[in-house]
Amino acid sequence: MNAPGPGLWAVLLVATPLLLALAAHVIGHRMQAILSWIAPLAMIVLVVGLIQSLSNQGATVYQIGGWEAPLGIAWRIDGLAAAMLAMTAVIVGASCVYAPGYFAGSLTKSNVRKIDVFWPLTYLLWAALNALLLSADVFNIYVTLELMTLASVGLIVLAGSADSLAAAIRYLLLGLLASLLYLLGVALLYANYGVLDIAILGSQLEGNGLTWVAATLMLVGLMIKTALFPMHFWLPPAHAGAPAPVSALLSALVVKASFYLTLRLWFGVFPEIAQPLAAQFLGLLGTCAILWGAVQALRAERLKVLVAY
Amino acid sequence: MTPLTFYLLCGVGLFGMGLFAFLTVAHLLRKVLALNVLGAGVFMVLIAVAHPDRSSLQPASPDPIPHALVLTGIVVAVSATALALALTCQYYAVTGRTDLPEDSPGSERPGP
Repeated sequence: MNAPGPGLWAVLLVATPLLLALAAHVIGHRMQAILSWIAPLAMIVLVVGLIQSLSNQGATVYQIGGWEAPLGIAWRIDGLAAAMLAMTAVIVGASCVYAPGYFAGSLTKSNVRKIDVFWPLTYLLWAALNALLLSADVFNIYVTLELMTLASVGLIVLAGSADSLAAAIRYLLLGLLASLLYLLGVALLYANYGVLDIAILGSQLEGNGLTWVAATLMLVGLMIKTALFPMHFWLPPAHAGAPAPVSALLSALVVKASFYLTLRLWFGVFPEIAQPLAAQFLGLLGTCAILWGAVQALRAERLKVLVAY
Repeated sequence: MTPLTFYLLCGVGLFGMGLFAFLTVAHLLRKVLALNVLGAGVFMVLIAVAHPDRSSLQPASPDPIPHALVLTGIVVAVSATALALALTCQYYAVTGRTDLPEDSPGSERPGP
């Protein structure tokens, strides 16, 4: 608590989009369009502030409410988190700026309601992403993962067609399954070690059978979320149905966030048991996913360009 | 068999049942139900973990942290279920179907 530097910026980074979500729900369309310019600017200022105080003080752990790690909830702010936060701010900011123009072409009665829903959901997603990137606690990660899933399901369904509904339902069900697998892993870890903090877990870990089961459950859960290669099947329909700014958000961030967690868990919690072979296997899958994702993205972009012309 | 093992086994059993139903049943409402059973299994494991036998620090009282986790988990599960049900209703209203179209054959039912 005595070092409010990066911690303060981090709290603001999560609190601001939440307030924006509330505000966007209340104010009218004209104000929403103005807000969509202010919001990215504010967030980028916050991220720059975070990075600056980070470079002064180095990586820190921020205890929310001043409770110590085994009982309270901690946020870890380090270089990786800051880089991901900056990327999030740039991408969400870009789609915020892009979205009014995208929606402006189709201002019918029903679309206006959709746009009303779009802004709060986007800001909520932003808050969830930032909180997730800062979490240093396996259960907190579960909660933010769920927040992220719910917000992005809402965004997918915005298009309102039967296809996008089916895609959203599939995404939601698989997302829930993935989070519950992850949660069971968390439960097993807690049963074994009695702590939830990533750093403490990492220092206490031993490679016994229960830990392996927990690690496998958590990684399978996250792999479904990340849509890593063998489990990528649900992703294309979900993206195809979504409006353009939404699919930018989903493909660029939501999926990456789960991958970031996989990295963080693999190296933060399970370094003792992560053998080089296993790590390489994960890397191979990741490469396949990136290649596949690139191909998919190209195709989607073509389609959208075609439709636009 | 201690009560702890019993409850743990029950939790894992519920989890398995839920997972099996989720992967095999096509009806959306039953998929949502299966997910809830699965979640109940996870919560049961967490509650069993809080058993006083496990925490040597406070021998008399159960460990409160897993209980807090379960409460949070229940809140998350309720809101997620509500969203899933609303989506299912809307889907039924739009298409008149209660199952998802199998547009990705072969990959629809991956092993856990």
